[in-house]
Amino acid sequence: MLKRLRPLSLLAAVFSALSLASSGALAGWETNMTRGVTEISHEIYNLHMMMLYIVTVIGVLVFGVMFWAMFKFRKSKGAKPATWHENTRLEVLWTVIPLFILIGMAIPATMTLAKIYDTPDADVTVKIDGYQWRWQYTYLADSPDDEVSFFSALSTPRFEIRGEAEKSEWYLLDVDNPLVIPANTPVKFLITANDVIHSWWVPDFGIKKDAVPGIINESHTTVLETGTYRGMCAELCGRDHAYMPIVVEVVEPDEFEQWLAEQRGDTAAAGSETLNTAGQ
Amino acid sequence: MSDTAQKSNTKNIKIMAQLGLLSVAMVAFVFVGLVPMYNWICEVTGIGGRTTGPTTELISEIDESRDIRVQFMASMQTDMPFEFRALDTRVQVHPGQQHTIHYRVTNTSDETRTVQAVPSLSPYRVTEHFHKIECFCFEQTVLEPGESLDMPMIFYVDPRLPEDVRTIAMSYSLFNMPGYARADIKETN
Amino acid sequence: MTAIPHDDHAHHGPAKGLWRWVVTTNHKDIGAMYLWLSFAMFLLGGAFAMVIRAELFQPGFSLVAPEFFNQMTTMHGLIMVFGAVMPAFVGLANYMIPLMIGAPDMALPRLNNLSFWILPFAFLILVSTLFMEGGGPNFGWTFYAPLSTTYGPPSTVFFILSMHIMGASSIMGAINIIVTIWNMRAPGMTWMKMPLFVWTWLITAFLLIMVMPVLAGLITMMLLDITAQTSFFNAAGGGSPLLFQHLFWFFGHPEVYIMILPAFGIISAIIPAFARKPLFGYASMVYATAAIAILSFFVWAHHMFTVGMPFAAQLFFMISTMIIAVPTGVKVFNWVATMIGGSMTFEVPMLFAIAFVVLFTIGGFSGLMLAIAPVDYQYHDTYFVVAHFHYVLVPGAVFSIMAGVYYWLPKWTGNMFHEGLAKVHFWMSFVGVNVAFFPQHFVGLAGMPRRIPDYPLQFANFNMISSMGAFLFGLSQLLFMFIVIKCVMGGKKAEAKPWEGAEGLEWDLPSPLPYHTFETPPEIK
Repeated sequence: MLKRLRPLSLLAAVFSALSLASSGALAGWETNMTRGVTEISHEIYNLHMMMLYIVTVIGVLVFGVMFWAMFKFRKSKGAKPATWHENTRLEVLWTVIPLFILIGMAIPATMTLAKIYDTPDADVTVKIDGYQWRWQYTYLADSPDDEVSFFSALSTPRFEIRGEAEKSEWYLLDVDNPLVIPANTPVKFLITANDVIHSWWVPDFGIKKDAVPGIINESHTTVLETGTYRGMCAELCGRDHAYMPIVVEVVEPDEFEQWLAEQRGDTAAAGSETLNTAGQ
Repeated sequence: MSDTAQKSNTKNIKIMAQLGLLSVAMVAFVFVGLVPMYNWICEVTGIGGRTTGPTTELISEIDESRDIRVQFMASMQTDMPFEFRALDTRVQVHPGQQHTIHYRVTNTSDETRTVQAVPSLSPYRVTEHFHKIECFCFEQTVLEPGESLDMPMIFYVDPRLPEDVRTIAMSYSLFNMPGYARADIKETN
Repeated sequence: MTAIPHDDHAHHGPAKGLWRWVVTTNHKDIGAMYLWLSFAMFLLGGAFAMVIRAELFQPGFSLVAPEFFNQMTTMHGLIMVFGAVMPAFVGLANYMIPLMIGAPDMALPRLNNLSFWILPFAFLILVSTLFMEGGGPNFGWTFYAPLSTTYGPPSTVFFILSMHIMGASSIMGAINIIVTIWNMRAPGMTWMKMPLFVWTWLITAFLLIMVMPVLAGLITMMLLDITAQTSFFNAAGGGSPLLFQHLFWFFGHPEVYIMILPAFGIISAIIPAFARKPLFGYASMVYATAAIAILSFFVWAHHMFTVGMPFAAQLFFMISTMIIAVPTGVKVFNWVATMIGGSMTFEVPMLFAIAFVVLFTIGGFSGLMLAIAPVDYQYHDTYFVVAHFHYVLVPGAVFSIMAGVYYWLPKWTGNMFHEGLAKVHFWMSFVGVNVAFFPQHFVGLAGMPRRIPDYPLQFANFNMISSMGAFLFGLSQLLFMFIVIKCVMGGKKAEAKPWEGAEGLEWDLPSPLPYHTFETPPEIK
């Protein structure tokens, strides 16, 4: 579907973007990774910052030397070319030093990785099914009748996407039924897909796991703070790949229990229909 | 001059033939090397969690001291006219102890259909310790229109299961057969 | 020094008319055709990129439908990788390698003609899929199954056909290059006297022969899955979608180096030329190239950290990937050391080469960050990755090609290009590329996934900036076309060696190059 780009509306968009930025709220100008709300996401953030600092320092050093050379050894300044083109000691040195820097990076990275793989027993287990183009969340239970299962799809109205109305704050990041999990409780996600590959990603949890048809993938999290956390599908899954967001409400454990009980009541009341079918 | 050119040309053709052979060998290597290697690695490490069977190993002993929680889940290819669910969503087993669980599958369409259930379990390192004596996933299932089946799966968990594993999640995904027939995909909106 | 005519074959120039180009077996003709094809594909792939950036200029459904957007991202990637970058390097290899090693032509001229001429048909087929029912390939240039198999558009079989043709062309080209280097070197041109461009291409050609067949096997499996109901990648029949990814990246990661190793060769020719000082650490450059090539076979799964691998596998691929930073670092240090103590001037090829060193290194830094498996959970499939590989491919591979074109254009055409316009081209490209791709790091870190036609409002500002940069970069390439055509048409006559410090056999030949060169081997000093 083709629509003309209206220069005026573009100008307005630029203007509103700029005014938004100058109004103090940095919304729209984030330049860095979120610190997140789990122990793992904090560690990932720290690793990321460590890497960023190290490569920045290396970059400043290397480019600094290069620019110094570019200014000092110019023909226009009468520089005469030297003829040396080898220095074994130097070459060994700059092979070995990077190796040590890499080891320095690899150690904390390995420790974090090990922590991610060291999974506690979970109190809550949620099965996540990726579909074109929505998510299904199923809370596993001891008996089939206690299982709670629902779909979670984009709730941003079509007319906002088409530009017929102003876009709301959480444009493309709102769903009809968010996933609800308790705070400060180990939660296990079992992730799979039923058509193509999707990827379930919540930046604040430091979790990104591919949902692959026929394969079950496991991910663990313990969220430290209550709140609403948003993410998007991170693996190209067809036409509406951009339109399958993830919203997770993290609530206090007792609130969660209450919510789950309500859901069980609802599902029971609605009959076995929604519960029994894994598909539609 | 033309003699050396001739010689050089012969050598050119010879190297070309060798390199051509190498590239053909690489194509063959993909089929007879890489694909089997992948399958072998998956089998050994349990990546993908695909269990196989039926097992031929006999149960040695029952380890009463350990309690393993096994969770069962069902998934289904998008838009299949079926109902598919686990009738036992959770069982508690001792390693070595045999257990039977059931899945119910119902064909809600008005034609006879063939389906295949694909197993996957998590964590992957458990795969080699999860033994199936009987499973509906070993073969395809044919269902008449409206037919409903309670399909059994008999399994036991190997006592050699790593000490720290207390929970196993077992998932079955139901697929339409033959292989690549898409389920009734309706082009929505 | 000119070629001395002798009697065993014809010494007339090229045949007349357009037919000449169809039947030619002359390495310069074929090299030039490769380069023109590559430039045409660069503009086409660039046009697709402009559609992408226009759609992403602001959030919302502005220009094209998501189905078409996905086809654009896919075609942009495929055309740029297989149509622009690879043929450009093959073209440069065809044109320059015989000149650099003192050979009269490529070793297998007829094969050379064939490997070029099947290529336009491959792209014709690929582009025609856009007009087929269901549209062209829409599953990303990585074409992961089952999105590309069970859920792919009907045109996928044509996509596979065109990929097969491209693969065959690449393999034939690579074989030709290896045979030429192996067997056609002038007497005295020993291995360790070869220019680095020849070395890097020799290694690249081996990579091509090793991995293009893997791609061929992979797409054959796809074809079987689609048409013959096999189950290589279908979980229902006992296959695995992950097998696809492993095979793809087993091809794909060496493929990435296929697109950058020849660039190292070009830069290693240009920097010493304009620093008027021999390349620092020639031998270590050769070893580093070989090391990178060998390592490229052991790192593929770093593209797949999120698919669910055991701890040991993640650790292995993380560490093997990090190790690649060592030989790559050696190269960068060598280039910088070449500059130190030189006598530098900054003509256009040098400007591109310096931009290459800086911006490629930035791409290398983000690559190192991406190698850290736990952090990759946050980077994977976001615009951070897009920024990373555009930094290594655009100011990396593409800048090196432009540097090479400006460097050798006087030799090819006998005319100097317009220095002023070329500088404008450089600065527009340099600014454009950074404005386009640097903000993509930010949106990626802030959480924007790649391959989406529409995005939440928080990413709007940087996307708009990025689009503006992309438009500037796109525009500047039209200027590049103008400069090259102007230079071909005429201009100040170029000397045999227009660059004071240039080294290599090609500069002993007159500008423009005679149709036949080095029919008697040159003497190597």
